[in-house]
Amino acid sequence: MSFDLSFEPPLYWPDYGSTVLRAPMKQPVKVDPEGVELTGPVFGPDTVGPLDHDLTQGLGGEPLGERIIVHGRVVDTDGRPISNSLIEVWQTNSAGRYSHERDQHRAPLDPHFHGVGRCLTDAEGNYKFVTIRPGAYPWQNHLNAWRPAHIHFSLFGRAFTQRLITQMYFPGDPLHRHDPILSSVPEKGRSLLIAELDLGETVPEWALAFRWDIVLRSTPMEDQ
Amino acid sequence: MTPSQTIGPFFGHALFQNHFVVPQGAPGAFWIRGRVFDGAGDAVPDAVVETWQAEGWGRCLTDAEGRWGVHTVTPQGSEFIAVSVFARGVLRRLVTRIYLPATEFDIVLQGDGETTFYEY
Repeated sequence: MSFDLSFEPPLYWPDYGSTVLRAPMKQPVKVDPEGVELTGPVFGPDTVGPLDHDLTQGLGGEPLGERIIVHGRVVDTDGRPISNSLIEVWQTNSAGRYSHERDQHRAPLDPHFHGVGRCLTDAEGNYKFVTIRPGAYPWQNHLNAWRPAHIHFSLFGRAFTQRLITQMYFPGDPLHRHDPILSSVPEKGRSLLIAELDLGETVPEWALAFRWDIVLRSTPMEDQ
Repeated sequence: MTPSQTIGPFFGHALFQNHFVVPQGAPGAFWIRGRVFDGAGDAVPDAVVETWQAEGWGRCLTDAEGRWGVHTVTPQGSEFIAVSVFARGVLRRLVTRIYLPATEFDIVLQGDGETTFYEY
């Protein structure tokens, strides 16, 4: 079950300046995961409120921007669904501004949008969020560095070995090829981070849908 | 397999913390505390340190001095506590292990005293 790194970004990627002093330089120690690493935290239904998957609700009004549905399925590399597993998401508002005190981008905050959500996958590994399409924003990595619109995803899977934090991008964005963070992924892996437009799940007169399936590494199951 | 990307700098409002792997007053409980440093020896104020052991899960967002800490117990049936580290500028999760006994555990991402990271 060794890790296929050929789809993964390197830790040292000077085009993304923050890696230069934060990438470990020693080779990692290769180990087989031990018992505790083959299990993981279980987050029950009480972790997630009934509206936590809908980022457009709960703040007293409708946020500005394009309402969208983002959904998909979480499976492992053997195709087994990752059921009842916590997903956390965060993103900018439609103007490209995070609801975070350290984000100084001169774009408006939206009092009706915090850009934070969570949900549990269902028995088949499906997830679904309702949100607003995020905006691009500048980030000072280099002259005219602009991040393409993206949604941050945090997944726990079923085992510590499966833990993943990543970003989902939108199809057809001309900023993709200029972005050192997306481009840190070897070319053959980049499409795996880009959602597809899903007219089948689009709700007429209400919200476009995007589908993004997520594949976590397989891991032997601990019988517990 | 879906590739990894950095957690970025703007997660603080999105991720709940859990410093108490076991509750205050639990038998045998103690704190493990440490700081996260970069290759220049500077504190990393935008890292996430998560711990996992049979007794529970912890998550800390480092403060301005790079500090983190969990209130926990010595794990049963394992010599170590499993640790994930995420940060701006870190493109893939870093995995390490805290072997017990330990009450201090600094995480040095790069350079002198670089932490031992593991890969499966």
